[in-house]
Amino acid sequence: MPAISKAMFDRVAGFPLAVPQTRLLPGSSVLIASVYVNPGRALRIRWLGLHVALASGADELDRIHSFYDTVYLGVFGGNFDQLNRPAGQPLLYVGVDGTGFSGNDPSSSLNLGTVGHYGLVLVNNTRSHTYECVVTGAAKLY
Amino acid sequence: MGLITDQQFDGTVDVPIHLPQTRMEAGSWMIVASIGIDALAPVEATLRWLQLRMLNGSGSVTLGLYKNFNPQVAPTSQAPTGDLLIVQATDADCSNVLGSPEFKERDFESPLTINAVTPGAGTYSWVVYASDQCTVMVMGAARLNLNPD
Repeated sequence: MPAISKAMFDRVAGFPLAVPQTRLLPGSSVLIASVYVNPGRALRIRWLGLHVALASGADELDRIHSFYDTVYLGVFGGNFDQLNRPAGQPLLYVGVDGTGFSGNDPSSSLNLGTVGHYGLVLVNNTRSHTYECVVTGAAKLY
Repeated sequence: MGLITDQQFDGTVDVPIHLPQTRMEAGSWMIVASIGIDALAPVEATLRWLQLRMLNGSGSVTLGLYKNFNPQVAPTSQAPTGDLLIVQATDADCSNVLGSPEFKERDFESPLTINAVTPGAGTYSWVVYASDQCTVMVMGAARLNLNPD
């Protein structure tokens, strides 16, 4: 099995995907990271965790997208609107329904080698509830 | 000198335990970072570098790691995993940083290892608690080995 060379090591940049405990209002979303992948490079995400610590709101849950959890992290690519509610299918999805912790499968990784912008968005998928969320993760740009 | 393989390198991730300058109210707490250790996924976390700094205010600030932390209950009523970092205000502007009570770091040479066996599977959260109104920041990282032997 090959050892990594210094040249390869020098080319890899690791960076955080993290938000300390933050209140997310109903229907809101936050762009946590936005990365442009240049030709010949690749973005790799091996660890992404979402901890929804607290929830408050009306008795009845009003979910916006019925097929997503109440709070989710999504990696979106292409020309998605980074300042408004993301649309389309996320390339990587980590969701929590209610409160608790969820993470991506650490035994696999998301490799994004197609040139373009990628964004990590934290979404409150309800019109009725406020959540306090923590995001802990990291990515590498190869 | 040992070398690491590209697979080992790919499976090593440093996740941040990072709180930028933040104003905290008296008796408040917040989760800075959380990681999940699954009994079925053999992930191992190693904590070496963790620093806590009080920028101004009064009272004391505590930073601890908690397994399955209950966010509705004060961390002072829950048992931490490993030692707490505690800083104590000694003057109004906390002007003395290194070596002063307003700055604390854990012993880099004594790593804390977390895996599904010891101290066991669960959600581990780093939580900062302020006894009085103050401004704090946290810097640190946990190294995750996603392909442990």
